[in-house]
Amino acid sequence: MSWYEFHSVLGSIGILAILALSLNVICGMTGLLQLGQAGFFAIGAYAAGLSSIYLTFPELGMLNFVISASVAMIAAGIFSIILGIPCLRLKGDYLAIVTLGFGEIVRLILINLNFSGGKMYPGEKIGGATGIKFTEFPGDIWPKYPDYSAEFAKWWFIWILVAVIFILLINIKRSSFGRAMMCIREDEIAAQAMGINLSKYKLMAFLLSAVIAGFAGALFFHKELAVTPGKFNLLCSIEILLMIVLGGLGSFSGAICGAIILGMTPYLLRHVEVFGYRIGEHQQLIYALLLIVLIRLSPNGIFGMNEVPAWLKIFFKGKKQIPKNETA
Amino acid sequence: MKPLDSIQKEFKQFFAEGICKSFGGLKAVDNFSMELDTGEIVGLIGPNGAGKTTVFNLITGMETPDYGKFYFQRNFITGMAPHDISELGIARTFQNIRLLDYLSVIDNIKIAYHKHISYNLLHASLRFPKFHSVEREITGKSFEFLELFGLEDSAYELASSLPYGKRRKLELARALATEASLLLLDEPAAGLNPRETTELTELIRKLRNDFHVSILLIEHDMSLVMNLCERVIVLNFGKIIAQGSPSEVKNNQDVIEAYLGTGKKKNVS
Repeated sequence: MSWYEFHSVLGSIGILAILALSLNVICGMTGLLQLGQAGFFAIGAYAAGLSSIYLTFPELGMLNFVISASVAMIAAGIFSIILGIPCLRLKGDYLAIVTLGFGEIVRLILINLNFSGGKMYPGEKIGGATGIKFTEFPGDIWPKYPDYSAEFAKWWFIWILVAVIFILLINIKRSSFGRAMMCIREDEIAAQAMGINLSKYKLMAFLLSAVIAGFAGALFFHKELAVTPGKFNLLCSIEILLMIVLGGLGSFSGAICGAIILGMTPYLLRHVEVFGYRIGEHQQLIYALLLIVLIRLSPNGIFGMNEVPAWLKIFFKGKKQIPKNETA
Repeated sequence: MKPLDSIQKEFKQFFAEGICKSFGGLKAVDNFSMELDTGEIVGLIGPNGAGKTTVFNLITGMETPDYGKFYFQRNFITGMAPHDISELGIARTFQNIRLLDYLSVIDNIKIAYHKHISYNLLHASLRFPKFHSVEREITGKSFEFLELFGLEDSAYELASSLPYGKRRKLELARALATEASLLLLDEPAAGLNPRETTELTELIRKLRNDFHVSILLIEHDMSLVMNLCERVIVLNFGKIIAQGSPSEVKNNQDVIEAYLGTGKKKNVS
């Protein structure tokens, strides 16, 4: 594996990690099965692409990314509210079917979409199966490091964002909002009896999840500088779901861990040779075997529901906080 | 004519009027009326399938009645969403304990303070000082409740790891922590041994005296009902067949028939 490929793969895994974190908000924390995360990912990527065509100011440099990412997040957020208000009354499998349909609808619409090109390629069509493509982004958004390739600059930037989003989500998980969402996951009836407004918190989780997925879409677009609708198929949604199941539903650190494992495996297998035979050709088989073994060994995922897995807890022992009574 | 003020003073804390609810052809609750004063402990008893739990579901808004009205602290609560009713101050426990198994014991109590949270999502995600002050206050209050119920040692354990008796107590603590003024307890003594039941009786009485809550409880354990309740309502097939003090109800002919049958053989033609 060349260094260029390695850096590129690290960047892709970072984006997958953000997607896994976003799906963990709705699936892991709130317990609603969402199979359309690729739809929000696609909306984010396309919104970022269109905003870079129509809303780019070369003199702003790095700030162009902020504009483009906010457009992506707002677009994904609007779609999540439109989808969420009627659909979050559904439960379990029914919600999964509706969101699965949503993801496919987004992909099909994007394939059939055709709008005339903007500043970049006058006269050329954007949309359809070729999607949006740039050879070079006009606003110079990625920090330039003279000694390294552009891919290096991309992956560390992406991984800083992964860390920031991780910290924000952990903070939310350990607040009243996270508790309310986890309460809905554990028992909806008990949650209602405790005064938790189910539709409000489900919509909040759905919105949060979609906004982060949209942000991942924007990152994806700016990393690849190209986006095609074919990537956002059902398999993409399922792969994200697999990551959080593998890492442990409800655990954000587990989601990142799952993204690293599932993101890295195909690239590593591509270069493995056994007796001169490239097993990379049977990549999917090994991938499946790996999943079966991991799920068999720990059915709740690697991390379970905790942020620190139980088998690591021995190192964090003896730090139980007894609060002072400050109610008076 | 009385002034409006004195009429409102006569209002009981809670009353139900002519509640009917049927599921298909089955009349689960039929013309159920009752009233409750602040600080009263009332028992709701009856044979299995009499519609006791349905009454609880109707009061807490999990189901809407076909006919009838509920008033709670001068609010008309029929048809309100469950979370709104809970916010007004009605809390309940469940027959099959509904704890949040994969959350710690202390988090189970903190859930109850949910409606008092004054910070928003931004404060929480960026850890503003406001978040810390509110959380500290909530944690302190939750620990007070855990100490009251003797659960403070297992505060950071998972709720699923608690033994059965403690799970019952935790659910009771959670209901009380919502700062409710009316507690609905659905079979609080189910599955407890006689010693634990006696403990629970004392605990419920203590809660009533300390927190000035009124309690409506469903129970099959007659020793608890007779010791604790000031008034008992007996339901059978959705209808109230008797009400009054425990000793009155115990000797009521209808109640004895409902529980034990008439003693005569039916003539099967």
